[in-house]
Amino acid sequence: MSGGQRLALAATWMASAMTVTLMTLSEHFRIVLIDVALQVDSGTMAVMAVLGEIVLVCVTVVVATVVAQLAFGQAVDELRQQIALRRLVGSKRAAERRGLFGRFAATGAIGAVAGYGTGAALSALATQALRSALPEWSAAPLPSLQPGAIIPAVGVAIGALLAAWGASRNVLGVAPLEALADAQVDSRFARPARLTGGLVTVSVGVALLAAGVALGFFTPQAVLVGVVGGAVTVFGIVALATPATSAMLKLFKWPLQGSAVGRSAYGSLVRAPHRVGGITIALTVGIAAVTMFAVAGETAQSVLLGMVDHVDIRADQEAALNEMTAQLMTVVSLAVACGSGVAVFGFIATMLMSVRARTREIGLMRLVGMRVKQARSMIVVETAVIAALAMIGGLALGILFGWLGTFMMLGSVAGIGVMLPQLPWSLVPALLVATALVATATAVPAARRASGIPPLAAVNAA
Amino acid sequence: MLLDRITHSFGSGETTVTALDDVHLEVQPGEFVAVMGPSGSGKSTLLACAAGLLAPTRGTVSIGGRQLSGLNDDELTEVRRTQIGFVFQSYNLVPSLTALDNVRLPSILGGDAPDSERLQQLADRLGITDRLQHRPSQLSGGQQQRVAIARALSMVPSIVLADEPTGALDTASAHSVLDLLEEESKRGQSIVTVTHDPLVAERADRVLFLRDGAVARATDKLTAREISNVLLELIEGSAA
Ligand SMILES: Nc1ncnc2c1ncn2[C@@H]1O[C@H](COP(=O)(O)OP(=O)(O)OP(=O)(O)O)[C@@H](O)[C@H]1O
Ligand SMILES: [Mg+2]
Repeated sequence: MSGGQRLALAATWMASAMTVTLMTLSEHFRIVLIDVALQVDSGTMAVMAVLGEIVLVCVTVVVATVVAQLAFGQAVDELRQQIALRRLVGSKRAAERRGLFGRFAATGAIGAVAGYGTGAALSALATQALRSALPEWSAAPLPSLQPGAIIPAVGVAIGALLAAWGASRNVLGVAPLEALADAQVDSRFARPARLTGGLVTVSVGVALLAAGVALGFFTPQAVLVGVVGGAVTVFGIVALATPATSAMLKLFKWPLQGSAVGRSAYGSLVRAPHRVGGITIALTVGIAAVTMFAVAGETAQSVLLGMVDHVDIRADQEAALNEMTAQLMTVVSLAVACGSGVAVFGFIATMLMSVRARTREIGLMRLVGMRVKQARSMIVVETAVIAALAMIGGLALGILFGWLGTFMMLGSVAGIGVMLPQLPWSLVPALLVATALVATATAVPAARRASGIPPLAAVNAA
Repeated sequence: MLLDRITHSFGSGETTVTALDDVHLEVQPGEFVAVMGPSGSGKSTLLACAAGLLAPTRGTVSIGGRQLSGLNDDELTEVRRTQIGFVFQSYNLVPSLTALDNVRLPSILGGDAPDSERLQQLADRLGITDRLQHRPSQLSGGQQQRVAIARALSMVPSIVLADEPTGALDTASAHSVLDLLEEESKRGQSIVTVTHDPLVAERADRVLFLRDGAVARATDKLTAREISNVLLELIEGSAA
């Protein structure tokens, strides 16, 4: 199994386990809050809670799909030479594609199923723990695994299948000639242009988002259209990741020109747009997921609390509402952890794999005069630039989606209407710190791996 | 450059392979030396030891009068960057950099101001001026070798080490690459090249024949026919 395939397995496994647990816990919360605590026949509230769950699950599934896509893409890159060789000696294009799709699909399915099992176990443990911790929970009839928890696992499996299908398409572009070409031909990274497809997809996504906003004036169910629109937009952006990151990289050209290390790092970033685009997008969706939930939570909270001031409300209901917002934030942060966890994992793994894939190149640089320290710094600079790109893109996307989503869900509630997005004051500094930590956790082992590459690797690396 | 009676063994215990056995080689400025021998005779190992990439098990290597043993990694790197030029059969260039950046890489890495006049001269002489903005994958094999040679010469090194530099080239490109190397040695550049091709070795001032890691024969300039005969004798000798 190639490194990319292992990553896809781990990512789908992790995503499936997390979403299954998340689904069970949020179902618990919903039952306890709506049916037991509030004890009001609040139709809108119940609908909102279900919609919220759908959004949480969809976001995590989308993130998992993006990471699976990246992982399968990496696997195709790793297998390219082999495939080219088989094509050279007579294997048909369609047969290669079918074989690869079968293997990838199986990987995704195994990950999702295994994740469901793990998630069931985690759910049982969490339910047990919460039951003993929270008194009002022990009264409610809570199963250790909610039946609905199968849905996100299926979602992850379907996402992985789509990712596998997309990645196996890249095999069509493998030319038999590549087997003969010199190892230094970096056509591995030359994918068929996906510009048009990406632009069309983003346009469709944006149109759906606009429709969601329009519907948002009338019903909270608008958010369902919004979720689909958001997912489509994200996949369009993934397809456009390569040109988008290339364009954004230009921002870093000037600051990096000053030193030999900066120039080498900039050179390897600019000249491997496909690799950089893929790695960047993984972290971008992770940061976007965090930002989105934080912005949505803060915006919703400010809107709801503002409403409480205007509406006559019983004291016990207000207390319940306050508790609800607090618990809501707990579920939301759990979802944030799920979404970003898978993305961060994908980011670290692909970054490390990319250093390994560049063993020969780094060995060659060492051979002609790059010092160990320079090799290390080069990787650190590359990681920092990618993290910065992801931060910019993720913040922008997350604020937009969080705002639109909140409006779609709450805009139709009487007395709310159009609202401005609210950023928790701590979001940007917290994201900066978290991204810096993730970048460090990536850069340290990656740089260590790079500095361990001997100059001889230029000559006799496999 | 001086390889003072070096021996190099891979592994230890029962699996020890002695790739180089008491090899002595001294190369003067401007000398063009060819290293020949059957596959597995230790030619590549000899170059790796000469460049300080492998430390010989016994014996010493000096470049420009400076012994390589005892240098730390940064010092060795500096020697490779400034004193040695490398040309291999293939994969000579960093794929993510343009031809020009590949040629300038050693000076960029050292933070030196690139000597653009010298680079321009080199590029003109090697006939790659109009290819400098291309990436390696956009160049033919012969053009890639020329770029590699330009990089090898860019820092005015004491010695150029080449491992089958023409191995992946057709006859015409191989000839032009060899013409360049020969011309450089006439200008005072020391060159050691490993080759299987008697037509390449014919150009050298001296030929070193290796067999099983040991120097089987060291000769002055020979014709391709004479070289072939020596090779045949070596093979027959090892068959006997
Ligand atoms: N890393 C290594 N570990 C163990 N043995 C090695 C290693 N590298 C080379 N050898 C052995 O050392 C001997 C000399 O190898 P070397 O690569 O120098 O031969 P060569 O003359 O360059 O051969 P060729 O013409 O095929 O390139 C061979 O027997 C080889 O198997
Ligand atoms: Mg060899």
